Amino acid sequence: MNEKKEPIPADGAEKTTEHSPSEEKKAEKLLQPGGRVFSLMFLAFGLVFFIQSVQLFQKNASISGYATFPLIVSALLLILTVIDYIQNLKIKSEIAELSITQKIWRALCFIFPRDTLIFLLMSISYFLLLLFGVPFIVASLIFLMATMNYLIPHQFLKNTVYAVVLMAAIYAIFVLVFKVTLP
Amino acid sequence: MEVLSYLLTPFTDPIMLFALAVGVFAGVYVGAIPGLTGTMAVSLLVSLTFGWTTHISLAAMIGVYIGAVYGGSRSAILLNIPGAPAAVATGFDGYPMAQKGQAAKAIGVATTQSVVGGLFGTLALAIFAPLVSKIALNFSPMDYFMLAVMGLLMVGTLGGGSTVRGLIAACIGVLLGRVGQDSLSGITRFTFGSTALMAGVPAVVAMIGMYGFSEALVQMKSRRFETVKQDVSRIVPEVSTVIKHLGLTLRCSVIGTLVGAMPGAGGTIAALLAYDHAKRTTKNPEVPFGEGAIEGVVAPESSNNAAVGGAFIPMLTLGVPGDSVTAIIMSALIVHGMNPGPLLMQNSKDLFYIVVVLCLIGNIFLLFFGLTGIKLFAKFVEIPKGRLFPIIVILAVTGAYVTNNQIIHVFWMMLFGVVAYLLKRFGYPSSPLVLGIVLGNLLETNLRNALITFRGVGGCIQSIFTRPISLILFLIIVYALISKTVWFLKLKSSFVSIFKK
Repeated sequence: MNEKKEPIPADGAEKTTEHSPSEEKKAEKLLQPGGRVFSLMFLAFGLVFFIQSVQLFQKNASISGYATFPLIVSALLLILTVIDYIQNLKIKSEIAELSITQKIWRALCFIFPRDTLIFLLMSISYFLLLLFGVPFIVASLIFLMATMNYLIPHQFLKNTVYAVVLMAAIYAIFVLVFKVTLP
Repeated sequence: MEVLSYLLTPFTDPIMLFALAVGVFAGVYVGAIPGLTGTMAVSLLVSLTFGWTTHISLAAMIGVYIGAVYGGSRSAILLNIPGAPAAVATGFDGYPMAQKGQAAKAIGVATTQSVVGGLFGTLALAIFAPLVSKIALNFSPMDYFMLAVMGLLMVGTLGGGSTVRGLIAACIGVLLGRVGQDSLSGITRFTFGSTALMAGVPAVVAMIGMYGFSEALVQMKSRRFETVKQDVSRIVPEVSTVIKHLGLTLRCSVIGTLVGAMPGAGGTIAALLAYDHAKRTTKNPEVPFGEGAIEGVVAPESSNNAAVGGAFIPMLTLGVPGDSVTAIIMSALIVHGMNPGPLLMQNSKDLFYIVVVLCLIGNIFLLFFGLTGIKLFAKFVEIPKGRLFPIIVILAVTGAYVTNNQIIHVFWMMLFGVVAYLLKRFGYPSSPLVLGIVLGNLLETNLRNALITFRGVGGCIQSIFTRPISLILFLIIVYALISKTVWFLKLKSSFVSIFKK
């Protein structure tokens, strides 16, 4: 029998306290901040597709035409989102007692915790670098160095080695072996 | 005697065996790299094989196919990025296993059960090809539509959470899949005047974003990271483990072969159906499904590899490819002067038996390559998350870009990643959305064909009750729908208590 090994902490990182699935299920009993607004976004999405489908159906009213299927699916989506919204109304919200500005702030904090937001912004910056013609290798190295040094600080040399080796491997696999064009 | 000589042909040609071995090896690693699918690898290979003999090029393509179908499971288990759509279901329990430090166990079991499934599929190809192809030939568009509905319903309820939320995600996926040109009429829909949306939403790119980029964002929520040390001291699973799950493997292999033999269905539906079957039939799993149940790896892996053999059945006997890879192989065979279809079985009988033997040997090669080199690959998950997730983003960006060499695909990938992140944050499953995009076209095309074939809605409904195949599929859908309702569960428990009394 293999002995189950304990998770080891990452370099320079503290041990985290992950929630078990059962704990998460318990936590789910309260509706997340912004949960009702999020379900309304589905309603808006469904509505846009439904209106577009109706317009398409008016152009081609054939039952086997190109508008029938999206019309059925978008109508189904609207029904489902209404059911979901009603179900959400029955769940007590975490932020029910707060003012509207506090609610918005709590919802934003819940959606984008600091590290997630910073990582997302770094990723978007990486995409923008590629979009504005910075070579893939250069842009990727900048992204890797920036994110790794932010997430695992004080290990500049190790992070640099990881970034360079990874970029060399990607270049070898995609460009030399598969003759793929990189951005 | 004649058949035996055909069956022995690959053994008399070392180059053919070498091409097969290299193909399987390359397939495993190509399939494991996010963004590089078996379809892409085989399509790249086709251009190289034009100068080769038919048998050698066939060996290389079959090798890549077998290897890539399996290879997708590696990245699904280790990174939660399925290398191919057929490995989506493998990640449901494979990745939680890797998070618990059981990546080697998951990969080991995935390998052995994939090989068993692959061998089963090959055997079915050899024995039941004419019979299964006859059944598949009898499928009407309505049956294909119901098959796709089954797939979506099933995936909508897979997460174990709210069925309504699963179906919402599935509907959104189907609608997003409708963006762009309609495949039947050529009319553009839901593009809002944007030319970038004309080609539609790229499913592979969406998949990379939703399983790769979003995972990086989800895991980023805490500044404190911990890595999971993977136990790779024993890669080869214990014989008792393999035997214990042999029944499930064989049942899922049957599902895989049958679904694989249905044109257009392929390994993705096969794997999802098998996962659902395992979830419904495994009464007391050691670990709950979705949290690292070994059965959740056994079922999709045996099924999607069995689907490889199944996919060859309609391609070789009817000239209808079972999936995208067999479609490419079929076009390559046509370039080589072959004509896959009913006449192939009469005019080029040798080719049929060579395919059978190549699939057989290919699976044996897979056992070897699948159980080696895992230590190196498993190192990926031992990398601290602070380094792993930037790497995943780079791979996701690369994978998204190389699918069509367009920078806009990187944008799509990130957008879908953020959407999946938001879905996960608010407790909505993201897999039904991806499956909705993938299966949307199959659903719509067949519904419209059915409406034409059976002359309207009334005819379609009537066809369900007049055709045994349709009726079976319909009853499965009805069961899948009502089995999740509260009143059905209450009724079931009251029946159980009555029987106990």
